[in-house]
This record gives sequence, C-alpha cells and structure tokens, in this order.
Amino acid sequence: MEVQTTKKKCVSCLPEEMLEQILVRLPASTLLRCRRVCKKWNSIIRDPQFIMAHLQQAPRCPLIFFPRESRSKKLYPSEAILFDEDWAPSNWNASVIEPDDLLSASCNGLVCLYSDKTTIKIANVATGEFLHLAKPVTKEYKVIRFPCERRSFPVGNVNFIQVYTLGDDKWRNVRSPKAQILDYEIRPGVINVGGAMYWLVDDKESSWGCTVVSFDLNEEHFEWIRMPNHNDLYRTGVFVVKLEIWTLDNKIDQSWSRKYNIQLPSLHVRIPNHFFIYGDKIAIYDCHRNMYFHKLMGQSIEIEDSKMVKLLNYGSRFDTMLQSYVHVKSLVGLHAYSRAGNGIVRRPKQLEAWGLKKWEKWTLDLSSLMKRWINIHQFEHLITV
Amino acid sequence: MEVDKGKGEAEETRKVAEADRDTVTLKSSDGKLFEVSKEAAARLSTVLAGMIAGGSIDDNGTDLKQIGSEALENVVDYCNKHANSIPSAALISSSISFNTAPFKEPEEWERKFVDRLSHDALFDLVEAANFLGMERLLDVTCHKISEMMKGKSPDQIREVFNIKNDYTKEELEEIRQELAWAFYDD
Repeated sequence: MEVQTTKKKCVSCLPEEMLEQILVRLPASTLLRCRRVCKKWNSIIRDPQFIMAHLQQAPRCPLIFFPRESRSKKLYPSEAILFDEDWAPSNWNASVIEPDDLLSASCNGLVCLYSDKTTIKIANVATGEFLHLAKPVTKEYKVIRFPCERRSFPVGNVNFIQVYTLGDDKWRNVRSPKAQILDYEIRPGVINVGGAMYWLVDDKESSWGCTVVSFDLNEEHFEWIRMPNHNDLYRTGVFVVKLEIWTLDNKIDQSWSRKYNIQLPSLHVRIPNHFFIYGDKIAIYDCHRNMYFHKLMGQSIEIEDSKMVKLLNYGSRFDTMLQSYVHVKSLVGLHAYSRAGNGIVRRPKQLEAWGLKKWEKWTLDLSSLMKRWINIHQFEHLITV
Repeated sequence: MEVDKGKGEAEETRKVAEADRDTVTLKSSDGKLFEVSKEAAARLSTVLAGMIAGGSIDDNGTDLKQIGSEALENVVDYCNKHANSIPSAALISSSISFNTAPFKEPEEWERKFVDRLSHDALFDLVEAANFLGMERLLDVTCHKISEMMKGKSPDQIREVFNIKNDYTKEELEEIRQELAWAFYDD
C-alpha cells in the first residue's frame, strides 16, 4: 500500500481478517451493537466461525448464583450475578434465569437450568436466548442428568447417567462399566473442564474418602482418577485457612501437581462452591457477605485483607447457598440445536442492577412486617395496661 | 517534539548498531533508511526472520515498499523498546494460570507506545505489523483499535473510523428489533 493522502484511514481499508482480529477482542455486548455499524461488520459478527473464535478468547468471568430457598417462612427467588470483563457486577439482570430456575452448569457461553415446573432449559445469558428441551427435538453441547439427582436417599444406587446431545431426538443412558456408583457429592458439585465432567464419589478405600470420576463428553466413557498422594491430609468443611490447589496434569498416568499454596487470612474468609479460580484470580467471600477477588502471583500466596479487591456485598442472601461458575459472555446461538428454530425464546432485557430494584420489594416487606410487630406490641401493651 | 524524540532514538539505535554491527538496514517506501537490531527484528517479525535466514537482506537497505517512513520508524522504535523491556511479573505469572488467554494484555509501555500515535499512524502501523508478521505488535495495535470501539454507539463508531452506513432505515430497524432482547445498553 502506498502512502495515502486521504484525510482519515478507515477500518474498512484493512483486510477482512484484520478487522476480525480487532472485533474478536470486543465484549459480546459491544459486538451486538457493532452489528448496526455496516453490513460487512454484521456479516462478520454473525459468522459462526467468528462466534467460535470469540468464544475461545472471551474472558472467563464469575457467575454467582443463589438458588431459590425459603428461610424463616420467607421465599427467596433464584438469582444470578454476572460480572463483566472488568470484574464489576453487571448492571443487567440475567432475565433468562427465572425465579424458580436452578442452575446446573455453565459451559462455553451457554448455561443449563432446570426447575420443578419446566423441563431442562439451555440459555445464553448474554444474548437472552433460551430453549426448553421439552420434546427432544450439531453435536457440540451435551446435557448430563443424574437420574436420582434430587432425592437425597437412598444414596449409592446410581450406576448410569442420562446423556442428551443438543439437537438429538432422545436421551440415552450411559452405564458405569464397573457397576460402580456414580452419585456425586453435593458440595463440590459437578464441574466441566476441557470437554469432560468431573465429580467426587465416595470411596472408602481412598485415604481421602473419595475419588474423582470423569466423564469424557466426546468419547462418553468414564474414568476413575485417584486423588493426589498427600501426607498430612484431612478433609475439611467450609472452614479452611490453608488451601492447596492441585491440578490433574495427565489423566492417563493420573499425575497431579501442586499449583498454588494459599494461606487465607482468617476463618472468616471462605471459598465458594464449584469454581473459585478464574485465570490468575481467586474468588473468596467473608462472613459479612462481601465477595472479593485476589490476584494469584507465584505459587505460594498469602492472601492479605488489604489486597482483596471487593466485588460486591450480596446483602440478604445466605452464603451457604452461594454457587460460583465460570461464565463467558458469547454470541453462541441456539438455532443449530432446535428444529427449524422452533422453541427458541428470547427474553427481553431487563436493567436491574444488583442491590437496587431487586431488594426493594424485599425491604418493603420487611418494613411492613416490622410495623406489624410494633402494632402488635403496642396492642399487647394496651391490653396489659 | 515527537519527531525529535524519534530522531534521538534512531541515533541511539545507530550508535548501538555501530558498536556491535549486528543490525539490519530497512528502507521505507519513500526511501528513508532505518537500522534495527538483527536479534530483535528476527525475534519480533516472522517476515524479517525469514529474510535474515534466507540471506535476502540488503546491506544498503532492504526495500520495504509497502511501508511508509513514519510507520517504519514506529516499527523500529517498537523493536528497540521491546528489546529493552523486561517482561512484567503479570506476564510471567499468567503462564502458570489455568485458563490461558490467547491475547496477552499489552504492557504499560506498549499501551503508551500506541496511545501517542495519531489515528492514521496507528492504522499504518497495523498494516506494517501485519505485513512484517509481527504478532505481538499486531496484538497491541488491534487491542488499541478495539479499545477505541468500546462504549460507542454505531453512529460514533462510523464517524471515528470513517465507515459508510450502507443500511437502509428499514434494515437498521429490523436489526434493532432482533436485538431488542439482547444484553446491551442502547
């Protein structure tokens, strides 16, 4: 290209692959807006290959989820807090997550939800699209169901799981080869990393009392993985002060290595369920219902109060219910997985910043309850006088 | 002032070059000569590495007809700055983190380096980086351009980047309708 004398260089002068390179770095929300710039941009952003490239590189952020619960005769709806690229709580309410929905997984831009009232729901939180797997209608996303998921007893009798490939006609049963049990432990839950699901099962023979089961989503086979050898091990509950992060380096020879050695400042600082390490950050929370992150530098890390970056205060929700997932805001669409686009619903956007509108009703309820108590108290007082 | 600074650095480069003579001379489309350390050029540019290895480097100035003098000066400047910088702790630590991001965040000096460029100079530099196969410089410049798009309306983006709106009103409305449910603000 010769030296140009035009006033302003334009992006459109750049070769298309460079324009893609620039656009692919933008967050999903900006990309949706960029579709209106011009036809060329629109066609790039809608291209399935571009969407996949964007999904690959988009930052992985936390998605904090509080399942619905009832406490002290009060009902709390399910709700999610999304974080944006800069790790700030998003101003947008994840409207695809309804008050009764329970979150079961977050995988490559899509989340999987279920509730008592409806069938399993697959949703893209960033674009607001969702699809119910009501009447089973590319082979990239699979839904795994544990047949006795919601029954707490009797335990130890699950020896198969149900697999559904998005776009398929029906669910399939995949049996455990060793007639071994597959029941997972509720607390760490089931996680998906790199195309496989992992969960912990009881194992009396292991010094840990448990073993990791992995299910390869592509090959659809199970593997039992020994926990790393450790001298002074003891399993703990919620309260930990010292934390070691081990990673599974190789599934075949089952080798583990210690990635981080983390010292928490006190018993008041805890780690959430499911995921808590996002790239070079660890997510933690304290007994005052504040959520923080802390940078992981080096291998030995002492978490100091002063270096914890506060993310938010989650107010009246209970941290025992707090779940945290890895989420990526992507443009992944659901069209490929439904029959001729049937059944896809788009939920209108809702601007409901966490801690603003959301708790208005709740605090109003509480204040009316307080008023009633005061009235009763005054009434009792009158009677006794 | 910018030019003076550039000249100063170019002179400095020449001094360094004279000291070890391990440099290559590059010639811009408008005939200006620039010298850059052979090591840095080979490390940062796949095209220059290929030329050095293939012996197609001209001692009197390798012709780079596609790159203007201003862009080439920036390329050389970047190579020199890169050679002198020590990777930050953040870059080292991210190599052992779990989710490896394909794009590494620009470092502070790289940010400053692209921030001082004019609009046109930035685009010339992207093209030069692309032509010379300079992956890291391409990363840094693309990052800068994408930063310029964030938080802007379609109208603002068109204005900043000089893009013609080829939509009809009806077409725009159609897309707006389709995206009415999406997770963004306007």
